[in-house]
Amino acid sequence: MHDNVISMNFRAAGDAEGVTATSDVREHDEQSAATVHSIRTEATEKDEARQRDAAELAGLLEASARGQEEAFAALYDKTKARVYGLVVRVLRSPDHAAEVTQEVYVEVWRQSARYDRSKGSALAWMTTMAHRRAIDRVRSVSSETARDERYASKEGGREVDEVWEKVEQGFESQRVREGLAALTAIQREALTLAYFGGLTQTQVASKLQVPLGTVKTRMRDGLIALRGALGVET
Amino acid sequence: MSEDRTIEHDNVGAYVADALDDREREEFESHMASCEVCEREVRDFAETFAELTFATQLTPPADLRESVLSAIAKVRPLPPLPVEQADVAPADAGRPVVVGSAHPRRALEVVPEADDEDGGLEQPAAVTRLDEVRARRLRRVLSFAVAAAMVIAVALGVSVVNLNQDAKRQQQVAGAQADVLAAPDAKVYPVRMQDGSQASYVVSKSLNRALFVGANVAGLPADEVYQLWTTADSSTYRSAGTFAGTGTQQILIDGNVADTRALAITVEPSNGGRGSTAPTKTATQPFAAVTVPA
Repeated sequence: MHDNVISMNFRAAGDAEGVTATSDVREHDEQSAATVHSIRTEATEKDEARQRDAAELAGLLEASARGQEEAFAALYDKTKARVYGLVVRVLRSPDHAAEVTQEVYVEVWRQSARYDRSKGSALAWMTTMAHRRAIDRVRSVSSETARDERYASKEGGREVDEVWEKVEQGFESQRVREGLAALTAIQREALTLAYFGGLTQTQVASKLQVPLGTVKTRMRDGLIALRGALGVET
Repeated sequence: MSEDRTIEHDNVGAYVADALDDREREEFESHMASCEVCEREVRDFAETFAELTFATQLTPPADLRESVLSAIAKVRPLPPLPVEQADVAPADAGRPVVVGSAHPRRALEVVPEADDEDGGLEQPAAVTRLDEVRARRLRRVLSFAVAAAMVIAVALGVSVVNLNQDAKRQQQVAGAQADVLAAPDAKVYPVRMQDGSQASYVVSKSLNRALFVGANVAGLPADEVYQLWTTADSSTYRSAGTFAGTGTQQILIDGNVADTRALAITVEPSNGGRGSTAPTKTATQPFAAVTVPA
């Protein structure tokens, strides 16, 4: 494809002006077609890879339920960065995060027989558990006040933007980034304060000074937009 | 009715983001139990957040792997749930274990768990503040418990007396445990197992017996057992028997109780070793350690 474009340009340069214009149009069309094609291929490959990974994780979790420690070790290796990264993001303390991450994995091991792959992916099952435990820790720790104040202060807004920006940058795919950027400010803020900041919806409402009902609907709308951006289907 | 439904439905995003308070969460969960739309959306959004963790990935410290794997080696996965049941609610700090339900006529005195904060015992022991006098007394004796627990750990590394009374003890449990629970001086000491689950000792100094009661004892690999210990002087440790089973356990400690100053549990190899050989996996800390008054 690349060669093709170059040869077209070469040809266009030698032609009359009118022809050059036509050639440019054709070139543009072909590039678009190529882009569409590569996006489609990328998406399909990603979906397939995602399904493979999901099936593998589910299998490892199910093997763990039968007491297979090697399977659990493999599960740990494949999910540790996801789980730990999430916990760090919520707790903002690497030491506490390591501790909570360990608690999460012991709990994953203990409860492994209760995972049901017909009800969702192993990763979602684990990250849900990790998030809940991290949030519990945040809410029980006394330095909560300090955190709250930080989020509530003038810098709070900037912090929300930073967190979100990092999340966006974490994705390589331009398509995902654009999808994330399409969330409205209030959707983004509500989700970030709640999911990463550990605030309750009531606290989010008072921080953002919007009615609680607005926070509820924006969080849900925001998740629908997120779901679209990330292309998640269950 | 339909209005309630709509209102509850609005909470779906906040629910998945763990942004509901306890009351709201309970209400939403009871709504979700009968609302397929919400249940479906909760699953979808959970997947969405799981995808989002792609962006926040961070490699944990390398030593966490070893730490996690050795922690899970001590815990057996729970059996599948027959019915939907309250999951791993974090252990209720300070709530004493209910024991002796077979003997409702007698209320046992429950000694609050030792306060962990100035003790530094590895096992988290939640405190119940009954009154200041008790709390002070606990603090005073706590240093002894810590010392005792540490010495147990050291003793295990050397050698200990092997008292294999399992068979005998099994036969005695039925009758003797009732005696312990009914003893006039019986006291209950709530403790935590290595996985944080609750258990307790019922101690009768006058009978020279105690009962270990665990409602939800975690399973161990086939080659390991729990071993109970007593000590009179915090330097000599006496085996008070072993047990292996999971779930509800009532283990009689027969003898060496009248003079004991502390009780604790370790995980030991089950192959007759019981500390008489150099421990392998037994670098584990003692847990469920408690000091009892002389």
